[in-house]
Amino acid sequence: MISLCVSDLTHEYDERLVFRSVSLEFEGSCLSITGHNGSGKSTLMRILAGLLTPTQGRAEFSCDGMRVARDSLRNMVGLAAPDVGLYGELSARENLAFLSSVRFGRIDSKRIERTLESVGLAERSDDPVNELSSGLRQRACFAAAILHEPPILLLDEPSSNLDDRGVAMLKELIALQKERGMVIIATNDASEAALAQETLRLGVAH
Amino acid sequence: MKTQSPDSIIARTEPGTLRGLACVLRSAVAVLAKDLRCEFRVKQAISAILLFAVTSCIAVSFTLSAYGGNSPVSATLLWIVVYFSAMSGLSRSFVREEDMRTAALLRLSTSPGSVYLGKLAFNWLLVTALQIVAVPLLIVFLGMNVSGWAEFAGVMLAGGLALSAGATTAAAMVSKAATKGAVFAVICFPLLAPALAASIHGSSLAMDPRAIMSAAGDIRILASYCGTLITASLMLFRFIWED
Amino acid sequence: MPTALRVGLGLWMSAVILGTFLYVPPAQGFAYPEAARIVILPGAETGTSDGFAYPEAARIVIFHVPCSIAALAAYIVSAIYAAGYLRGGRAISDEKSAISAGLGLLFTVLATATGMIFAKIQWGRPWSWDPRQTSILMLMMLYAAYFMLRTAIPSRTARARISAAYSILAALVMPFLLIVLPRIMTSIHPKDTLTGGGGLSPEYWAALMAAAIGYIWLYVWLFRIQVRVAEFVLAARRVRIE
Repeated sequence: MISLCVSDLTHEYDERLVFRSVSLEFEGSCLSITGHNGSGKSTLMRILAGLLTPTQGRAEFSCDGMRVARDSLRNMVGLAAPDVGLYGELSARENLAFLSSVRFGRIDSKRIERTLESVGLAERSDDPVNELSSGLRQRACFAAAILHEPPILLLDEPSSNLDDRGVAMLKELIALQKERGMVIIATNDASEAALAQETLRLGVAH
Repeated sequence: MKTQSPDSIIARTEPGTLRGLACVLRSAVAVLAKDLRCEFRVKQAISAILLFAVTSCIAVSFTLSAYGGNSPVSATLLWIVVYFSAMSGLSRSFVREEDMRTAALLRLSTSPGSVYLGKLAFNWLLVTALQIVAVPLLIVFLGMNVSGWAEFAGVMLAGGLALSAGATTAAAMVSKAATKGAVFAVICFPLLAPALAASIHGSSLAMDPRAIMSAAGDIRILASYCGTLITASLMLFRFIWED
Repeated sequence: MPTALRVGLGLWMSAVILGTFLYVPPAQGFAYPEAARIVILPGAETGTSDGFAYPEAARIVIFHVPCSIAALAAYIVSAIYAAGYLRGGRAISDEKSAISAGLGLLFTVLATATGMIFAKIQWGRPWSWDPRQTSILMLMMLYAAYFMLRTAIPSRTARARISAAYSILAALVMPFLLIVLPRIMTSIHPKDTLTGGGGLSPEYWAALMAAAIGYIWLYVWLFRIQVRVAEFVLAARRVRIE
């Protein structure tokens, strides 16, 4: 049972206030974060993933009551976001092989094949990522995020660049992740936000 | 599909345990392998470094070839070539990650210690490749002659490691800066000055057939410098690398 | 700093300056040397500072060495505040680290300048790559690079973290620059070093230590002024954000 506790979270980037005093307690399987451009959705996702330290306040996940430490976030969380890119000179398969060897100490081919299948990238998996279209690149990013089957999946604007089949694949992915643990989606798309049990709205004046 | 138990996940990366150390080293090797594979496809850093090395070897040789036999002069020229060629290429491993937006992927999947060790190993390989090209070129163009090859190789390796250690840490620091190239060279020089002096002195002793002292003293200095710098960088890298 | 201490600092340094010329032998006035000529006085009558060409001018050592002592202290304080910043994340620690490094740089420049004056008198050339001179120059470059790094990073939190890491690394490399580098260079050019004049009388040491205390006192005063300014700036920034 994964739960998220955000208390009085404030973040400033240099002289600019990104968001202030965000608080939330969530225990379900799907949360959506909405807000206009610049309201800090991506920043919040990065803080949740452990990539950024907030200026003030706390955002913590707990697994079965035990708090997940910052150092363990790496294994518990998968993030697919526009600014998380893959290595362009390597193919999708090679990128996943790298991630596998870094996370598990060996190249787990079965797991890589399974992941490539589930994002629908099996045919173009040997082309350099630079040569893929933006939609396929997006799928490759999903693959990178779910390779280690994380209990917590963070998706930032996931359906941008995706065609209809891509969106269907994404919905399947989200459904699967709901069973596995928790998925958090940062989006402005109403249909995606509708998948969630709860919505956190950023950028609303207090 | 059941959630993976957090204990096993956390235990896998517990620092301070022997298993944790093995994890860090394995991940570092994976980072190294990835960097080598990317570099092999693009050949950006290695070509910059080798081109610079060849050009500067020729530049220093064509007027100074009369002094080639003189060990201190050759040693100095050799290390100037190595140092400045390194400056032209060693920052790329980190700067490229930031520019190509792949740094986030690394931060999400790899521990900072593994990133540092992997990049350090990559840079050391680049420096060694550079030395393998520069030494024969200077022997041919400058008339440099080496009498004690074993000691000379020892100084080259130790000096190369020191150079890579300082340059890797400096590259990480500079990757968030605006004007990367200039700041990188300026930061590296005072940080690496003791290592450079020890390398030049040690190489000149190793090359000189009449030298009374052995280069072992300088190799010891380089080893302690590497030890200090690498240990400190490992402990500080988390702060340099993460946001 | 309370007025009493400021006045005390002024009195102390005046005492040091007076003592340099009146207490420290030779006691008769200050013979102004002709800088162009080097005359090595062979006699042992000037037993207080053997090896110095102009025993009178050797008094600059009383101001030169304490500068480096103060600089070293400032750099170590900078590294300590840097470590404090990395542990606690309070912006004022980063400011203090930078201020201390700046004061250290100031004292290093003064040490280099007084060293050059002395070298000009002693050897006729202000710069001769004497091992001590080289290491103080490297030290100056090390911390000049610190400020260059600070200027080059636009994001304030990244700047603070990275310069804190640099400050700690620089403090660790300092022993190599100050002890190891001169030793390597001495075997490259064996020559008398700046502090080669071994026979400094006890009065010299007393004056030197007094000057060192004075400089550190001065450093503390300058540090506190700049920290107060930094606190104002940080507070103003907070108000602007909110």
